[in-house]
Amino acid sequence: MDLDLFNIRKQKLIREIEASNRLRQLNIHPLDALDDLIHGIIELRKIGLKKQYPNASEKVLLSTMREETKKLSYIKKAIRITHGGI
Amino acid sequence: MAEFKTFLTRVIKILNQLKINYVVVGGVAAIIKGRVRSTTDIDIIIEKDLDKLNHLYDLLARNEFDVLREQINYALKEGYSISIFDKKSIMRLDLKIAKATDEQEVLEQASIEEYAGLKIRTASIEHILYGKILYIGSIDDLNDKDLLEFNDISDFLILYNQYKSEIDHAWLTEKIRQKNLLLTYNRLIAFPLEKPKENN
Repeated sequence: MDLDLFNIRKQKLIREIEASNRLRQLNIHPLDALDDLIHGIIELRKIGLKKQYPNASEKVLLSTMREETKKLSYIKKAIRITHGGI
Repeated sequence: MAEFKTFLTRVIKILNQLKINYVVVGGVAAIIKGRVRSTTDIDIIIEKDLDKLNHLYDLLARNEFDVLREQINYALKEGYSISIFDKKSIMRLDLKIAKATDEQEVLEQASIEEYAGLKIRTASIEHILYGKILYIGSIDDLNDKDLLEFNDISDFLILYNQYKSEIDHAWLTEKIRQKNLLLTYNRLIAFPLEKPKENN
């Protein structure tokens, strides 16, 4: 089971390297790829939040997403601390 | 659209306006060098110049960043990184004032990367890899499967493999040795990233 998970994660990493190389060949700047990724994430999260809070304004949606981002960064830091300082 | 590009442009324009020496490090630096992944913050190290830092607060506040003067004072006094949120987006600017020798060095040896008409001072590939190793720290207690859970480790593995032939290995090894992190470094650079043989 552990070995499977290791192989799955390793293959994912290899695919990421291939994807990076492909973007380079296509002359796509990695920051443009990041911009698209963030835009996609924001749009998807907005759809989810609008379903949850149909009457929420754009301002409220933005501040909710900002709070979520903040919480996520705290969680990530906490995970690092529990794993020997990573 | 262009949430990140707009945010980055606003940040770099403020730093250029101040004529303050800065360098982009961390995740965005790794992305600029070719690691494709997401992030919602920009890590920047800036020079310690009291006049410019005072002015930086004014410019950030005027440009809709959620910043307190106390945060800048705190970064200056304690040497920690401070998080400044953008009022217009979900992005965040993590700012550190250069104090330690390593921070001064990365600032002085920055390379210029061009993007969207901007000239962005970015950490060199060696400094990015070195920074990742410092951040990763000791990994003795982690098995290979768990290693791959961490963004910083994936960043290191992908960039190291991408730039292997261009890196100044002697410099990198010596810097890491000085921090007693050679075990981490050697384990990561030996990490097997071969493609599986396809079944016929």
